Amino acid sequence: MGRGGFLIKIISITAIIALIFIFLGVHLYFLQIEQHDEYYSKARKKYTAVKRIKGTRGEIYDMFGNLFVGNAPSVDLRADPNLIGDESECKRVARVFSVKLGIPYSKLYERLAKKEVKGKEIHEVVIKNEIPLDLANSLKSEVKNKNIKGVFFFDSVKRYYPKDQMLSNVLGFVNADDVDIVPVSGLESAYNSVLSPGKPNLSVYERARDGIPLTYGNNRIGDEKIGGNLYLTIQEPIQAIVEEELDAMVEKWKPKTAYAVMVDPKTGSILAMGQRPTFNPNDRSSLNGNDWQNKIVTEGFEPGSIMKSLVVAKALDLGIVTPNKIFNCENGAWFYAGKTLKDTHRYGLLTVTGIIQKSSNIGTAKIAVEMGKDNLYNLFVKYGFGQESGLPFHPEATGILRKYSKWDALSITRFPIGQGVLTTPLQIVSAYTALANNGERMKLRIIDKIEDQETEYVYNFPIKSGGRIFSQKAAKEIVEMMKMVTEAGGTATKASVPGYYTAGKTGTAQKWVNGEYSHSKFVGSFVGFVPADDPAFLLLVAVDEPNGAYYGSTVAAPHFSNIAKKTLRYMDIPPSYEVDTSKTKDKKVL
Amino acid sequence: MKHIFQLPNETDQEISYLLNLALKFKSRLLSLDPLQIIAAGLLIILGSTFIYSAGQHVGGAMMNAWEKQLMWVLVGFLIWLILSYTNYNILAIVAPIFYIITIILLVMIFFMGIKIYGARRWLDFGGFRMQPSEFAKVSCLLLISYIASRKEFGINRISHLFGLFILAAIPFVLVLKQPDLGSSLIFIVIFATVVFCAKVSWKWILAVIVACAIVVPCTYPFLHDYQKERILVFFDPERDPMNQGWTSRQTLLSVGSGGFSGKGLLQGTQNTLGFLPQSVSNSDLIFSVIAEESGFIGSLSMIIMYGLLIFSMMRTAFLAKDQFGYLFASGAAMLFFEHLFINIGMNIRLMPITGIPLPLISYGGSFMLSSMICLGILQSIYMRRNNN
Repeated sequence: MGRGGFLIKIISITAIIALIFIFLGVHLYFLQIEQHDEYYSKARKKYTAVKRIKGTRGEIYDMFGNLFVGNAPSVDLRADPNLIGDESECKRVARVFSVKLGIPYSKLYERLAKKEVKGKEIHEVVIKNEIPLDLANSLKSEVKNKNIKGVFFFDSVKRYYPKDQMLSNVLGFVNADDVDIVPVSGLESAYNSVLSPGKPNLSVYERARDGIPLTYGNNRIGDEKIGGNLYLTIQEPIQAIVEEELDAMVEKWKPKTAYAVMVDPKTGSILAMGQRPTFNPNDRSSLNGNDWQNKIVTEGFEPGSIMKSLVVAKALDLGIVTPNKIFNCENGAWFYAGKTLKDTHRYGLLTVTGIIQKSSNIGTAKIAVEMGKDNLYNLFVKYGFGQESGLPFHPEATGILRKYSKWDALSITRFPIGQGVLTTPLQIVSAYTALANNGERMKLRIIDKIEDQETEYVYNFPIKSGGRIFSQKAAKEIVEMMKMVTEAGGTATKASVPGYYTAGKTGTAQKWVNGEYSHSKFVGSFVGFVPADDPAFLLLVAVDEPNGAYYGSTVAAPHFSNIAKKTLRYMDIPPSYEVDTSKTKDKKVL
Repeated sequence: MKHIFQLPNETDQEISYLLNLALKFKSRLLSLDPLQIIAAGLLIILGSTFIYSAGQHVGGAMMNAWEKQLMWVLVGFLIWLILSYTNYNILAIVAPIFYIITIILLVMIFFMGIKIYGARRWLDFGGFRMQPSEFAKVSCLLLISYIASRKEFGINRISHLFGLFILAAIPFVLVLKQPDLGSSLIFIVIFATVVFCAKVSWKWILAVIVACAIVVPCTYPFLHDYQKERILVFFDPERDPMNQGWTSRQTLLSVGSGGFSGKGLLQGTQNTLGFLPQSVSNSDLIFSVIAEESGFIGSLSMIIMYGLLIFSMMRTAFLAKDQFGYLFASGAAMLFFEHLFINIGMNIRLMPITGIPLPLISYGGSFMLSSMICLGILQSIYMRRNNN
């Protein structure tokens, strides 16, 4: 072979290789020395992450730990507008998600197509937060199938109300925006400081590609905060009984509002509390107007005849009357202080017991006149009328109790029959605990305890007395009278619960509309307690603007009975007497 | 054989025989290429160190990869030692057998190969995974350079040249079908190098260069989608910054963020944090790990080491006493060079990402063994060099 050719080939190969080596070395020099800062900061940026840790909001339970408000896992869907692609791609992506998530297409497209703000690239926009898991899963496969780039799914939690509309007006709800959770109403709002996990923890850390933080290195990772838990005095099974009956009431009377409150008269603990209309906090798109309001707290009503037993009880205590003292009920019309007071039926002579049983306005007014203005006013104050209940709800109506100095001559005859006095259902219930609890009024409570999940500290809310209003003897006497109400000859036989002595009082109040008492708008109510001599519960049922009938004895009493029956069975309260079932059957046939 | 020591009696004669044998071994030892040993040795140490480093924060099998690698280094060293002291002309007889075996292995892959990351490249022999394409590179080089060195072989005769080309084309096609475009191209380079170094006339060389310039772009439509994508992404990394372009960008970030002296052994974050694909961070992408953790000092040292190694191989080619030695040595030098250039190139975004490992450094038993076979044969060629 030609030695020259051999040498040239060897040298040329070696030279080319040598040149490439030099090139590699120089290139590396530029990469690693000259451009180091640029690449270093790029790399750093890539794996340094700042994250807001939202923290988990506390949960709300009933007395036994049944969950009313919790946190359900959900998914936040975000997009990087700079990764999605060009205009047509943005349109395609927006079309897919607007259909699937029910977001207006134009709004979504606008968000995706906006690539920068003031020259700075946008790398994260919200498509939708808090997507339920199953929907998120179908979206994920959609993203894969349709080859959508630049969208990311983040695990998150969503405020979740597992019982849907049950107790929703009391619980309230929260609105979640991109950064934080804003409480809107109910206990969610009132106890936000307890439930909220506090300010989001800002964490700076080096993360892996999959987002998991490094276990070593210079990381500041804040602990995830957890809010406190609320335990209510509500008992879910009873709440369910009450809500079921409220639905029945709505169906039957088509009222503007219907509500019921049940308390344990011995402790003031609210066992159940519901209203119609209501809403489902999980699906607020169905929310109408003010349906989210808790009208039991925010609206006052004239209690009507319900007030009578509260007044008579004190008259008995003061020794002004005895159960058998007889009053002349003036055949249904009594002229006093320039105005005529009427009864619904014409009664002649009635004992005090009769006055309560028949619900005579004239009889009650005469008793009140005997008691005098001072006694009456002080009594109302002691019952808590015109004052806040002490429950955590805001805003709370206080009702209207006219100032002592503003009482006119008629007041003493009208206020005791529940006219001219505005009370809230809560005030009535609290006042009635005095009747059911041997003369001692109990302040209401709805929070049983608060549990701080981080320190495990538990704060028990105390049972608070509202003070003794009348003697035990007077209480016994008024309870006997109120039993008569639900028995034959009483105004509310439909409220009776077979097997149990039921003490109660109906109320039918005309609504004050445009400066006068309406003749078409009424609030029919019934408040009572069972068993009368040792009450398991005290229950108020009220129907605001019912259609078809309006007497409390007709629109509220039967529902009281229904709720009471089921609740007594649930609470396993032994009957007070045997019920002759054959007899009641015969009655029905007749 | 001429005895250096002349001793009077029988026993002393025996001693003198042993002494002479020892001296002969010493002279043989000294006649090994020290440059190759130093360069290759340092590269192996560097490689094992960073296979260790790349695995420690990743865990799993990656954590113990360095131990396995050291075992392969030991096996490779023994083969290297044996081959060094074997006359490489004996290998010429074995070359066709070696070639046929590797071709059979390559064919077997289609029936019983293990599929990893979408490509069938491995054979499993009782727990040992073997990548036949690595051995095929050496056997192909051995056979081609042997045939090209034969006197009866007329390199400038088109039928002979075509026959030689078929020998390279068979493994090329088999490897291409795995699919492994990067490795398959190695066979073409081997063929081209051997032909170039043989007594081919310059006009042929020119013709091939022109032909390549025309043909290569025309192959584009026949590539797999993923291969096209890689090439497109290589030319435009922003085309797909999340998937294909991802690796390209991340390797560059790794190398660039290393700086002058690096982040320190075990301190690299690009690999640990999963920005480099962790499954190949100790093999195909190990250069990124080395450059990030040991900086410019480390990567430059490595390049110098490779430069010395390739230089020693070219020197062996130059010193080879026969055509076979010359052709094999230059082909082997080109084989090593192509690997390291493509591998480093793809780590600094000069090349598209392919599955080409870094010789003597990347994790992998098959490639370590085939590299050591090459180096062993080169030592044998070097030892039997022309001394004039």
